[in-house]
Amino acid sequence: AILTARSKAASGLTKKPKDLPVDIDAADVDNELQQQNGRVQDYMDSQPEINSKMRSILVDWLIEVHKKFELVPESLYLTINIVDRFLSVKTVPRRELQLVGISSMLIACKYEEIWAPEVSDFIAISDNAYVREQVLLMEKAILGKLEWYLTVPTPYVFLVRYIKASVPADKEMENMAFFF
Amino acid sequence: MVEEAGFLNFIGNKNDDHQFFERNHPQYDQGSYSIIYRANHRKTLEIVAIKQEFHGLSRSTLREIAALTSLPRHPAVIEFKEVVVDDRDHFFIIMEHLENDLKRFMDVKKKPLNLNEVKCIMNQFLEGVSPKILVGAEAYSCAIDMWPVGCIMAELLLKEVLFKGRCDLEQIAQIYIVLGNGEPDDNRLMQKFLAATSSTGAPSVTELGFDLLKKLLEYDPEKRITAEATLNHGDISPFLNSPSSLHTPTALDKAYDDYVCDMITLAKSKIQLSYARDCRDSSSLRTTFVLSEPGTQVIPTKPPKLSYGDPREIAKLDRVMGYEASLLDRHLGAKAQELGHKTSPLT
Repeated sequence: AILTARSKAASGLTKKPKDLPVDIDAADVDNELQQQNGRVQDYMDSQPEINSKMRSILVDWLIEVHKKFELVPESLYLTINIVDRFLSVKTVPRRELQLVGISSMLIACKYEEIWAPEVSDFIAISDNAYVREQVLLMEKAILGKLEWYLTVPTPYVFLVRYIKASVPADKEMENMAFFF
Repeated sequence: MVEEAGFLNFIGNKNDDHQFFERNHPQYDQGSYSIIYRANHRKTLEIVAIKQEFHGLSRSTLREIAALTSLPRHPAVIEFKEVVVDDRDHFFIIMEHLENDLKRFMDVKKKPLNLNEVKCIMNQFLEGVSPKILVGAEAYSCAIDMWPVGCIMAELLLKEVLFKGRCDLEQIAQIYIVLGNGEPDDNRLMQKFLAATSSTGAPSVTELGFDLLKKLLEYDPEKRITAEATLNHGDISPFLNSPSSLHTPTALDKAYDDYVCDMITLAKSKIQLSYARDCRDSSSLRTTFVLSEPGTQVIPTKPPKLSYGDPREIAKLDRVMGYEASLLDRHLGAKAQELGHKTSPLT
């Protein structure tokens, strides 16, 4: 869902389809392994100040930050998952979107990384747009809203598996799968 | 550090009834980076344990909470109630209050535990980590679990932590000091036990028990004794199905539910990767043996001043201990280049 939402946003296709998509998870409704409270919803209509174009700019920027900090891929996918889940439940002003981004990445790094960047690193990379207290406050707000539910399946593990199972993969194809 | 009569007599936001706890016991237990209180809920008077961190939200706490929230309720897993955040920069984890845990049990006992007690406790651990019960769990993670079982066994016998390191590199150094380079001559470990025996009158470990300990503290996870084999080991097997000589929680004696066990293994593997937030010092290599000291973690408060050993040696150590070497690869690579090696020792 994240990737399709993003590619739609990237190609300017933001019009919603008329028919509701078939719920492919319906068969798993009683499966207790099913992710209950971690679902990303289509939140753009509920966000007065944010549109999908802004989200795609944020995600592009987060990918760059991710590269700059030399983080593991899991951190990036978890970051985007956290951003989307938070935006699903909380209205965020435009000027705080980047703050949501760096705070989500801070959380994701604490979860996934061995050597996580520090708050000051994130402030520096966003050109001092926010102060330390804002980041810590947002970190608390996000964790509270998500009820500390951070153990989520992200597309990454599945992509790795599918790429491995597919025809001899080249780097370009991998990057298309991972980042488009 | 929190003062005795400090603000922490009350925990949570005072104007929030739901999240308000009153401390009813002075400082209860203190780790290197967190403090534990006993408190009761303002309204329900329910007694809980509250863990507070000294500085913000560390990675290990974040992972602990994430793991606890994703686990289903189970009598053998401590019950996590909620996280309370106050107006300041404090996180409090509210958990089920247990009157006794192993650490306290050992603290109360003046002398090291006797052999029967050790065996009984070991037996309970082993039920928890036996692959016979852990259906679907990878052998890899089971081997990781057996190492701390060895650490705990040694600690029970010695009444002191086997590998005392303040940070990970020191910890690795300690392991080298105690266990040597993995060659068969391991009289240093034996000496530790002989020393304990002579000074405190502790029960000397039996030959069989020492044999088991050596097999648990085997560097190579492939060669390390499995939980199942440990249960059949001569030192432990006589205690199988025998009535407990200790008063211990009955929940631990029950067979684990497969699914819950799977979840615990998953969570454990995450927690085991909870390397201490410590040394930003690039020369440190982190490997924390979280379970080696029940209840506490060895977390340095300052970046340690330690010289960096041969990266290949340490990488090898990591690999044989079953840690996720690939995670370390990148950092070892950077370090290796600094030291003049062309590529990472792991590649």
